[in-house]
Amino acid sequence: MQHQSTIESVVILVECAGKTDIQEIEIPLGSKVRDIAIRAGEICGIPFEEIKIFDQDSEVELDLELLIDSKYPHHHTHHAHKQKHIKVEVFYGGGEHKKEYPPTAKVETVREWAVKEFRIDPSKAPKMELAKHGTKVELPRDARIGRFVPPKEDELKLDLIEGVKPNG
Amino acid sequence: MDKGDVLDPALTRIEAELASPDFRAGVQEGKWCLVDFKFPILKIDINGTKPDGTRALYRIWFEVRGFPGQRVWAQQWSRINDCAATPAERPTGNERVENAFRGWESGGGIHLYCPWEREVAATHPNFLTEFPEKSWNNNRNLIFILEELYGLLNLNNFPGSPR
Repeated sequence: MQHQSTIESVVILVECAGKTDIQEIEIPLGSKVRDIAIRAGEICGIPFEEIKIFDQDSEVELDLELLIDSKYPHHHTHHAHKQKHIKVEVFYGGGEHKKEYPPTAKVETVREWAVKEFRIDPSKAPKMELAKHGTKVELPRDARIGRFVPPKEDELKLDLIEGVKPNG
Repeated sequence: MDKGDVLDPALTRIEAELASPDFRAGVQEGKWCLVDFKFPILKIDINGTKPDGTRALYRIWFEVRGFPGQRVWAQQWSRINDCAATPAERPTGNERVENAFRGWESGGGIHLYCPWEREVAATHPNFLTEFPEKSWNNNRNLIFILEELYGLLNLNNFPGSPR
């Protein structure tokens, strides 16, 4: 089965708030970003007026009136979230630090910040990972943080932990 | 395949995963790409980072019989000689990537040393309880494996990592 865009429509991959699976949204050429927001809102379960659409690595939401024509970067993975910013709180060694990030910020960006804030020894820093608070579930460094925040929430609590190195 | 042949469910499942939005997003973002899939052998190239910060592709060979009920057999594959990777081809740098790609031999074959891998799980039953977040379970899919490997192969992409 091919997923080539036809002349009349494009397929856009969208990472929706709180969804671990990327969603596929097919919309007609000539549509607007608003139409992505409408479909994403249906997936997230929130009104499209409250949805922000981000292009891949952008920290700024897209204009909903932006036209999706043949030059539009439809091959970029988009991100849909209710929040412009996520309140991130990282815990380590009895302390915590807070900072806001856009939903498209990568886990790696937050991890680097946390390592500096907690003054982790440079020799130990490469071993450190971020995990969901209270768990040992390490978040992929390349993932965007919006993926781990349910649509109606605006906070993400994480623990800075030493990464797993299995050895038997 | 002739008409009337019953499709192996593992084959169907892998084909569906390779067509999934998650796999395609990884391809579009340059994280991995499909090299070849002739059931039961699947080969995927994953983009990694060497200790000097340069990029390199690492080929992973999977044997996927019984997937997902049976764990995959996974090993690094040579992109030059189409055989198991030599020690010289293995990724180096961060100790966790070297640990996973050490060329661990067991059961007559070479395996990635990861808790989700078939032979590793079979010979280290304690890993299931010690490293549940890295082990295979019924809720996992191919993307879980690829994200784990992509993460390992890019541990060198960090200031202060061994150069």
